Amino acid sequence: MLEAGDFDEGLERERKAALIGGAKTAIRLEKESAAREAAADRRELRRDADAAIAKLRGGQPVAEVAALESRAEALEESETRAALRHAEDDRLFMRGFAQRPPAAQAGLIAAMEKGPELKPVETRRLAAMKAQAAVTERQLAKDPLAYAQRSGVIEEPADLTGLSPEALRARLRQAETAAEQYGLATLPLLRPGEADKIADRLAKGTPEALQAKAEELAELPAEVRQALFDEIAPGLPLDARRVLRQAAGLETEVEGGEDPEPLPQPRALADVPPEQIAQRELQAQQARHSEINAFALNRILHSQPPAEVQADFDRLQEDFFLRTGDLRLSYRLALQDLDEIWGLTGEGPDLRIARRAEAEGEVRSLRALSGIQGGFDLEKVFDAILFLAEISLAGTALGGTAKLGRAFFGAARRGKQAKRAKSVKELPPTTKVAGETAEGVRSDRGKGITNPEIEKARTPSVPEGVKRNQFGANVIDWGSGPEGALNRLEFINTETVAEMKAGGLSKAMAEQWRDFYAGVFARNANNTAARERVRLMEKILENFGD
Amino acid sequence: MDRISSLSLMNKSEDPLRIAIEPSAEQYKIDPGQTVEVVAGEQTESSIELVYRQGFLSIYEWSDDMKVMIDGEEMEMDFT
Repeated sequence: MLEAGDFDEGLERERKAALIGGAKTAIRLEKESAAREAAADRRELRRDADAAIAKLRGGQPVAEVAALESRAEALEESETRAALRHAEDDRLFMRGFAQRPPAAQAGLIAAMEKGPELKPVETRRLAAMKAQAAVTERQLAKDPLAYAQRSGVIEEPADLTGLSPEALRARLRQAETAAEQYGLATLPLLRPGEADKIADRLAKGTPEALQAKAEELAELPAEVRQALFDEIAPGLPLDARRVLRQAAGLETEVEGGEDPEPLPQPRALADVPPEQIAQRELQAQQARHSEINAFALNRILHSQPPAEVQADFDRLQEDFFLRTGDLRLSYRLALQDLDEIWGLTGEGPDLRIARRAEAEGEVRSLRALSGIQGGFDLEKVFDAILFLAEISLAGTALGGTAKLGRAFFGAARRGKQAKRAKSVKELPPTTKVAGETAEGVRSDRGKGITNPEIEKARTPSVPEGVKRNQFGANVIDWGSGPEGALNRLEFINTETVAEMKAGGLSKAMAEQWRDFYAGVFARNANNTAARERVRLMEKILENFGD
Repeated sequence: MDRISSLSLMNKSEDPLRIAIEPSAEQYKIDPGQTVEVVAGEQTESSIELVYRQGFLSIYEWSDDMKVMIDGEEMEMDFT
């Protein structure tokens, strides 16, 4: 029999069940509501992205890709990728992508790379983006203004042919616009090659025209004038530099009328005392157990040149520097004249021909003294002497107190009457050679001074399957001219050498190429690119490891 | 395949062109309007390898004995 209590108990259970059911329903409804809201949010985000893409197709690439980037941060990875994929075959997308700073491009690429395996269409898109990012990086390093123009960030760079203040201001604005767009602090005012052209034009004009132009430029902001001057000055004759600096308000007069401009030092010698360079060479030679070269170099290190030869060289070098404004060129011309002044032309116009005989005699006697037996390579000794002698002579002119690399002059001391050499007299009064020859490019003079008695060296081998141009441009990457090798030299370390090894370079091959360029340089001492490549190969060998 | 015995290049631009004979790194300047002819010797490969970068054309030797002629005049490298 049911009792009243039982009924109450039943009601209670129903009440509880209703409460539980209600709570469950409430929870379910709440979950559904949250899901709907989340979905709505996501749909909104997606709509934003779609709208961005739609506008992108409408021709507003920069702003809309930027909008997509900002939305992409909020979207899930798969949706970002979907949005990016959505722009497939849309050139505007790539145009917009190209205008983004490198960091933004990298961010979009990273978004594509995340997540599950890419579909073929996404792979193609990603490849295009990566290729564009590589182009962006390369072009920004090479000619940022040209790249900015091509990608629509700026109009055609202002024409600086007339070097008018208006054009310079316009160019400055363009550089600032591009720098801001690419997230860079500054961009160079001039494009590659422009500095040389402007300098050439200024150098060819009359002094009055140069003065007028300089005064015209004085109205530009000081930092613009300074930046412009810094870029074009290396291509200007010394006197033109002075005029430009003074008239453009960049120079204060120096007491005594001395040239306020510091001497341009060759890069390889600029920061390192010549003694240190030679000592390093010596140590490198010794490390390779090349006792012959070490012996010869050591001899150089402890020798002294006669004061008269050094004095002649100093005088000639200074004279040529004043004429050309080019320190490297002045060394070469001074060395050339020194040949004639000291009468070492009995066997030809090249001083080295006479040096060879002198060096042979000295080396023979040194060999006898030192008791070195067998395997004596006179050519290597001679090349080492010549190489170090030039380094030391340059160092002497720079520092004035270098005490190395002068032995060969001792043998050359003849006591003959010093005479001004033909090349001094024939040097044109203009400074046309400056700038051109500094780059290592032949002048208007016909024949060079290749020594025909030194046989042309055989070209060393390259890695199997690698073409010679690939070897030079990709594996070693020695660039163009002496500057190319010097620039590359700065980046040589164990990592870059490891890349060369991966490209097929062996230690023996590197040694062959070093010796090859030493031979090329010995054959024509004007081939400074060969000399710098000797240094380059040396550094590669130093970083080669086992 | 026939051997390529010479390469003739005219600089029709307004800027000087720099060329280098590689791998010996001998350099020459070809002024606007000038023509450079690189003539190969007897031991000649059938292909020429070139590298161009920033106004600088590198010609990799395809012959052991190459001559460089600018406007018909044989040249030797000379930096001075």
